[in-house]
Amino acid sequence: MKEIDFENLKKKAKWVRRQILEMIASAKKGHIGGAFSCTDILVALYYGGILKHDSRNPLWNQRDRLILSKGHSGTALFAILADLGYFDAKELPTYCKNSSMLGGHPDRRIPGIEADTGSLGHGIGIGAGIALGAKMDGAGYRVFVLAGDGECSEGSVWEAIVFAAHHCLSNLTLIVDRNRQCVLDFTEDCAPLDPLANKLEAFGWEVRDIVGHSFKELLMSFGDLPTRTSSKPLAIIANTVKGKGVSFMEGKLKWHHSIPTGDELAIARKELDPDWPRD
Amino acid sequence: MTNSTNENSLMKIFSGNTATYRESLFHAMDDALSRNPRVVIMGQGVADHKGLFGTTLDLANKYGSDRVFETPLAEEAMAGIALGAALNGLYPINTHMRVDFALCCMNQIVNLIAKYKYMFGGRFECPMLIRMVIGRSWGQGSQHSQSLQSFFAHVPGLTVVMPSCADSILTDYPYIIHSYSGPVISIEHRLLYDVKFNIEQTTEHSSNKPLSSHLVRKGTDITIVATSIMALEALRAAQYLSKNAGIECEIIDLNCISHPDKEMVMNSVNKTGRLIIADTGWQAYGVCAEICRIICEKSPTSLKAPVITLGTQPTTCPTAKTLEDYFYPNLQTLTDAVARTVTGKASHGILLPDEHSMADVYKKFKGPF
Repeated sequence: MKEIDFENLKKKAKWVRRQILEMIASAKKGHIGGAFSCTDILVALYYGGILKHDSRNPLWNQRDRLILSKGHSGTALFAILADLGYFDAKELPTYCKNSSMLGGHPDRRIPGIEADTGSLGHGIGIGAGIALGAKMDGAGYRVFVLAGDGECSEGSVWEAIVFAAHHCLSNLTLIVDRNRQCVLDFTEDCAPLDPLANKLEAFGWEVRDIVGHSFKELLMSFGDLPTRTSSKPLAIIANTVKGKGVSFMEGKLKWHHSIPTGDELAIARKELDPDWPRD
Repeated sequence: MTNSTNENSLMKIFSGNTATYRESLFHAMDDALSRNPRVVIMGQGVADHKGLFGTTLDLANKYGSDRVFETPLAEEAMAGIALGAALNGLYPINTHMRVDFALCCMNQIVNLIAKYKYMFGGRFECPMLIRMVIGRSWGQGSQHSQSLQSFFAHVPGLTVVMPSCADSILTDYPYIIHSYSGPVISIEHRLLYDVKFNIEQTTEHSSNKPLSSHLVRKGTDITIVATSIMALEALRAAQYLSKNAGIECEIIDLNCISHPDKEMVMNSVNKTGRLIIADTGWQAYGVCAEICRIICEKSPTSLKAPVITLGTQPTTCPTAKTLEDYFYPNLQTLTDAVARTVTGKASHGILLPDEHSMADVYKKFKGPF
């Protein structure tokens, strides 16, 4: 692995979370907990040299495809795409407001977005279809699907998982944001997914179980993709914390889609940006 | 659909009082769990701290988490589980926070739940209530605000209701849960949840029968057949037109979408000679088309003027408020339709109410209605 500036990735993740906070607080809508839990995963993919992409040419045909199946976390992806130049960062404060390009969920009008998502349980199927097409075309790009663990209760997820293994879609990587919450409940109280790794392995996937907030583990798990020889699709279970980055939100069901205001907002800003407020 | 009124303690409690749509739903759920130990409520959000918009709040603590429980994002499996539970003596109430989410379980609902009784010689009954909520306020968009009553009502074996008021909930739900043997889909409207209603005084001659249509206003000039929140809009339009134009509207709240009171509709149209149908969904192949079919087949000479139908525009629901206000019918479009039909003129000269957004009105309006 080439030299990685982990401190820079941490700073970037903090900046992304700060943008998420401001977008959601300003719009008074959005799913903050899930956006925070998957931020480090997206930062690793985009800033850790994993994804092949070109913000000046969003439809470059050899780009890797990232599908944010958990579309409710779109704010995290919007902040990153704006930072990378896919669109003007001035768009971010317009999130969910009249005339904005940025709605509550990703859609393909937004440069850098590969699939309209938000209706849960469909991203892996879409990703498997794209990966199948890439294989048939002999194309070298990879397909990444970032899915929530809550949506892994949908039958359609497992139908696509079976399909991907059967068709040896080794160019498909599923990342499960394993924050152990689903809407306003805990996954293991509602419908346990564990042992998730064993289940995915039994379905014919290679599985890596990592800490989803460790850039070292994230980059290690993605690092060998270009040289990987297995015919199996790859699943990365990224164990995360919903609301990660703001102390009072971490692991709390309330922050699935609550909106911080007043003191809560001030504390969150301070935790994500020690220099706040600036003069 | 039925001539029998069941013993309804809920209506007796609320008779002559007021209740919000949300309170009525909560008490209907509480009553169901209290009266029948084999009732279970299952769905996303039913046992969380918000209790499915307050309609199941704290019921998991009161009756136990084995009777009120959260389900995962696995709608089709949950519908199948409800079917299995119903076949084996439980009474499942399966909830969907949005009608749209129920599309994930159409196979279970349409191919199994609706047909089980018929496919197996009537040996099996599938009594259950499936509650679905129409999302409505600006920004709900294409996958959170659909009004799919026609999808379900199209299928024999399913009974579909759309309560427009607290009365309908307090009348229908206890009957459905405690006395009805088939699967029922109830489509509730999110904008109505905070509206307060006067509950009709219950008497031996109470006009509201369960699973029936309701004549909610008598009039002589025109019949408005309406569903869900459009029945309330029709009442507002009728009050406006009576006061400002001397037009008297007769209003039928269809309520039971799958089995409307055809005789009530025909009698009204025979009397007024004019018909407007106002639905919360798309007009094509929907409730509007079905009511037109009834009139065309049963009473084709009764109309003195062409029918006008009102529903949502034939597109997916936009998220921008300005576009959404064009998407939905409102008091102004309904009033204009009545004025055009009664006068027979597009330029009818009747001043229309200056109101373009139903969502704005109902978010502020708390009742009583």
